Amino acid sequence: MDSSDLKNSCDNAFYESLFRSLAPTIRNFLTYKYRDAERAADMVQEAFLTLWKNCEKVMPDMAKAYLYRVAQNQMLKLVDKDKVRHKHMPFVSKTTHNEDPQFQMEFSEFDLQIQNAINQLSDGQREVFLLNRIEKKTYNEIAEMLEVSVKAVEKRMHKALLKIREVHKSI
Amino acid sequence: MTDKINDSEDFLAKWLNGDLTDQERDAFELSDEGSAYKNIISSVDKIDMPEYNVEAELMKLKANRKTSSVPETKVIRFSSIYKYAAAAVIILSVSLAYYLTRPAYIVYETLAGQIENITLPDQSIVTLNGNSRLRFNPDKFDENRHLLLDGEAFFEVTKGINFEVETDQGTVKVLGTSFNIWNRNDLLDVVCYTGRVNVTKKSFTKDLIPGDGVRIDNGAFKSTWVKQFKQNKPVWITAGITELENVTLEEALNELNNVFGITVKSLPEIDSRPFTGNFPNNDAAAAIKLILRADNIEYQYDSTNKKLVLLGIKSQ
Repeated sequence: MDSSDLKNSCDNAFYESLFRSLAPTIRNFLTYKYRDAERAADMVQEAFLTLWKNCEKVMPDMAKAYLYRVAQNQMLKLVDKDKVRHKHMPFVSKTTHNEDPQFQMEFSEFDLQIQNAINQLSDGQREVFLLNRIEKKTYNEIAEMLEVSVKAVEKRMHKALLKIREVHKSI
Repeated sequence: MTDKINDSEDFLAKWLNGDLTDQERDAFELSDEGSAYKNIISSVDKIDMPEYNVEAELMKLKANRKTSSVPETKVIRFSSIYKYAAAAVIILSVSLAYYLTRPAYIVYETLAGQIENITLPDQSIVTLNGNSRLRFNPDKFDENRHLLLDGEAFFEVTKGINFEVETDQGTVKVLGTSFNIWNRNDLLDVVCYTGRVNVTKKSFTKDLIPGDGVRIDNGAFKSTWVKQFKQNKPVWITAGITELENVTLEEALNELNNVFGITVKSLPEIDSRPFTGNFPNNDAAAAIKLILRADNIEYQYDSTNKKLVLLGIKSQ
């Protein structure tokens, strides 16, 4: 939708279209880093509520960055409180057939080992790796999202793969 | 091959992105390592995330939005309306009495970014900077050249009797001459350009000769300095530049308001940081950058509504 005429983010149609386009991505983004899909969904709710409360102050083209920041800050607050973090990535397998979830690929022993290795990556590595592999974001897009250089993204990708290979080798 | 991968910082990232040369790629993919990585990638490509029901989540959000923003109901008791009415009557009568008896001041007031040239009855010239206010009583101006200033102004005073400018931070007495007064909030800076100027505040008094500057902070003497200038007028008049020396960021942001009329929503931890620097008076975006960039402060600027919101200090 064209947001250029809006002065702030209080327009309901704008707000809803923002939710539809961004909520799934932000939820996945948070899950990649913090491994908790339910909590991530709650944080998306929180972030959008905060945006609504402050909508007069947030310009439409700033709304996206604002949401990411608020959601991440909320998540960080909670994660700090959780001393124990033995969460596992809530991976599911891709459906091969769009209409019928029955046709799911089955995970092999090898797949589960790889997923276990992904769990052991550092938060930063896992975030970059899954944004690229699952979300299909380019290195450029990831760099922009995380406010780091493309070079840093490439290094994290490289390290993530090395580590997965290493963990898997040692099994 | 293993060495090549381990020595590099980004070989695998480049491979995955198709950034290797054909030769490099073929050599890698035909090696044992290469095929191991290919297997890893095809395994990862089976992964998906649990479903996220956007519409259901949006419904939930709308419900939350309602409950979290219940409007406050305010109960005004009838008796309290009388209190307000009584207060209003008192305020009105006091202000009416003041209005009828007050001296007939002439008041010059400038808006943000507006500079006004004023010729006083004695032919002295005052250049009033933006967001400033100058008052004097014309009836008594012949016998007592006394003015009240709130803001910033440059004075070119003709010879004659006593010339005094009073600010809430101190009084500047002139001994025939030109000088600049900058009085914003608790700070008062006086710089003498020609002739001699005397600055007085309670027991503190100082004579300034051309180039001398003095600062009074919250009613107390703070510092003196010697200023180099090419022209005998301040740069806000000659070059359209705002100069700030040893002020807090709060003061610097306040100048943005004076020059551009920008309202600023700042943060307490940022306000007290020190600032020294200049900015052009014709480019708001550049001015904001010059003030905030040095400290890595993140901000949003809405140029249509002239609103600047500071978000925090960017971590390195």
